[in-house]
Amino acid sequence: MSAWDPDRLLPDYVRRFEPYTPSRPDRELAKLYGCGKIYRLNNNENALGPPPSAQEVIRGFTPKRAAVYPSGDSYYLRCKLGKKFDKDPNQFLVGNGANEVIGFVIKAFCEPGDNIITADGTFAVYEWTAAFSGIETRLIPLKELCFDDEGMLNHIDGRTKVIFLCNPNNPTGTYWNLHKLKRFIQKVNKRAIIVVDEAYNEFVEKADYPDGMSLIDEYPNLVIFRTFSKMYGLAGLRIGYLAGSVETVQVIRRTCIVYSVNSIAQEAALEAIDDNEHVMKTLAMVREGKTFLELELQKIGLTATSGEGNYAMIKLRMDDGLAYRKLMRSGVMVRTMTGFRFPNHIRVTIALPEAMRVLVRELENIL
Amino acid sequence: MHSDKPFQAALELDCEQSMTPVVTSFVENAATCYGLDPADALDLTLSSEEIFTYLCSQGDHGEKVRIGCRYGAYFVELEFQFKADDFDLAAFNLTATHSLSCGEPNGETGLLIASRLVDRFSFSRKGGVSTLLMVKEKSYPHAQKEEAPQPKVMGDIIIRRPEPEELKLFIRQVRRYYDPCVTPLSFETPGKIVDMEAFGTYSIAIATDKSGTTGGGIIWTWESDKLVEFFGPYVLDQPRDFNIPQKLIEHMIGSIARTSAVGLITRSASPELRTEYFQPMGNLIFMDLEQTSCERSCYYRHLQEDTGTSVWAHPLVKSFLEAEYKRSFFAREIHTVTDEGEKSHLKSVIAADIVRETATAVLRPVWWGQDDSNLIETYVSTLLNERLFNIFFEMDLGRSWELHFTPGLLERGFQPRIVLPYAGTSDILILQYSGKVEV
Repeated sequence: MSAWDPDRLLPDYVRRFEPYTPSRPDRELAKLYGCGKIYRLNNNENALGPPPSAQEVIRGFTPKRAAVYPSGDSYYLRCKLGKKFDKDPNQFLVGNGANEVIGFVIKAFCEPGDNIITADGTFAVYEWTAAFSGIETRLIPLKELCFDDEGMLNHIDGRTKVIFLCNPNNPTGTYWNLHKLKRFIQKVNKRAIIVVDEAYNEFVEKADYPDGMSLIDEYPNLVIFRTFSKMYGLAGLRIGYLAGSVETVQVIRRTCIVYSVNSIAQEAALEAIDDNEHVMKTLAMVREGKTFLELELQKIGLTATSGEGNYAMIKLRMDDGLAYRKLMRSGVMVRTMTGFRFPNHIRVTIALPEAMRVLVRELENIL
Repeated sequence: MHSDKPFQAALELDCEQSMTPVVTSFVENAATCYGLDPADALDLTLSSEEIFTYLCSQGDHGEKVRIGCRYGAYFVELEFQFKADDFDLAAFNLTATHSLSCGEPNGETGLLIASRLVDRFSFSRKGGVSTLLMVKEKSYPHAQKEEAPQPKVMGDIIIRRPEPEELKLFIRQVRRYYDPCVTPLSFETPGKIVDMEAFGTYSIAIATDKSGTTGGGIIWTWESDKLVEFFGPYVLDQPRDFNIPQKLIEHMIGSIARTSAVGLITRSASPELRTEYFQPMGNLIFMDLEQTSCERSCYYRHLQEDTGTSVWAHPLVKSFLEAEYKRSFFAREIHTVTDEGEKSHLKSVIAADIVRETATAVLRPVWWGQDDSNLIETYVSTLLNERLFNIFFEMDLGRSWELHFTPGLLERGFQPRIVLPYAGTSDILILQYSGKVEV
């Protein structure tokens, strides 16, 4: 009677979940949109690429080594992170990008019926990972573009397991200072795990921005996420990590996928993390790009929200999806903000001057 | 969220005429139990009898039929499922007659009779299983226009889901200020809207303040798992600088932004629509049951970044598609279907989705055959006789064979109107019948 219907076998929460469709490869996009060159301003990648020392590692990777499994738990990288941050290597877990470590945390602490708390206008992957794990997400509206501490505290109940903060927030660039973060952690009072996603921490130059890494020994329920995809330009190799107290990380380790981080990524990250010159050059590029963008956008009657991070959010007078398609005709690839619940906004990566000039020119053309 | 959880009863039995009393007593009991009044339950029962009799006349003896009856707060849904291979699919054209197999043409069909007894009727086929679906809605009292009080000016605005009594009041006020052309028909029965909202068919947000004054609202509904349709925004005599339409639109977009929805459309935009959130997608002409027609602009918002795709086109609609894609900036690789003398089927099959309340029929291809043009003509004349004046034909541009219906459709008075991006396996082209309406 009935035909093969794989949906029948799915848990209800997976059946309701729609798969994410990533962008097509640049070459395919260029062909479809009829543009010669693609300016990738959609993913907050580092336009300078990886640090030179990491590039050297990548070039030096002999093909024969591809036949050998990587270190299953990124042993040397964890040791290096321990040394750099003056921690025990067992306080770190490395994943295939920070997205993977989000999954580790949710799988370790949550079961159906539990909930996580985060903001509505922030990185979507916390919410997605919870959704396809059957976990409720409580979305607290941003308050003046910033995570609302009181709003989040008011939504904690006995089934709240994880609170996700993005500091600085993607896409608004706002951040909690040290005082606000500590006050929040104290008010949560170990009722839940607090994850502070610091994917963009290396871009923040403000003195009152908290270094989460320095707080994990004081607050055992605090977990910090960091990535090599943004500042260190290793997005294509997929490598990120989490850090926390030894007891918390040991628990999360139970759901950690071993061998998911490849050898090139581990070795490139080992080199990248010490390259301060690369960090300085990137910060200079971002500063210059933001100043240029703010000035030029003003001239064409647009406003941008650009706090910390290597990105800016621009308010348009049109549907951001339509703006995306129009800009793609000229090869300018931006991130639409409808999915971040900022309709009629786009987020752009702060990149090299040429890309910034083309962006402004094409924005003016489509308005 | 569904606060009123759906539940259902099901029956599986052999397709044998002698089993008819089992079917009718099952449907009548289920419909009554699910809250239909006796007259409506009887309509659904008679409809099930017609369908079962029809299936018995079409299938081989002993084939299995599954009958499901589902509770839906404001409606009861009756579903017949059977293996497509066991029946002649051409028999499921709404216009087909008994003569197809039993040799006694009577000018009408069981399907057509069944469709008259219910509010919605549709036939579809997926993965070798055919489904006939009928929906009978509960009866609700109609609202009177003069019942609505004058709205007050609001304080600080909060956008939220309304309570049932607030919702009924809001609907009465909308009816007072707005042309029925820009509201859902169900606004005539506020109690039904409350049930539809509770069941999850409609999502509604109102703009209100701390004192409970409602200053506006917006309503949206899932047309499919990819397309959301909305009505409004409606503003109840409030100052323009409150930006109520913008707040309502942004709330609605935020609510569906991380769901499976790909597109957001309105086919009945209110004058308060903030067009900077949408792009115009063409016009459709709607005719009500009194044959009064009005042209409505469609506005669309694509909710995702376009990753580009390939579509099929018949040469006769290729230039229309090219112009539409150019205007809307969707990246499409268009491949043309050709007829190079290859063998084709003799009979076409078209599924119909009928909504009597709006005098609308949406036709979708099930199978293409050489008789397509005649079948389309028969469909048009049958539907017009049934006072279904708004006839649409939807073609999935991801399925090349569906495009073979194009010449027949154009020949019989259909015109391409709108392209809905990613609404099917690829984009959907909607054609509307624009020929003579003689009833």
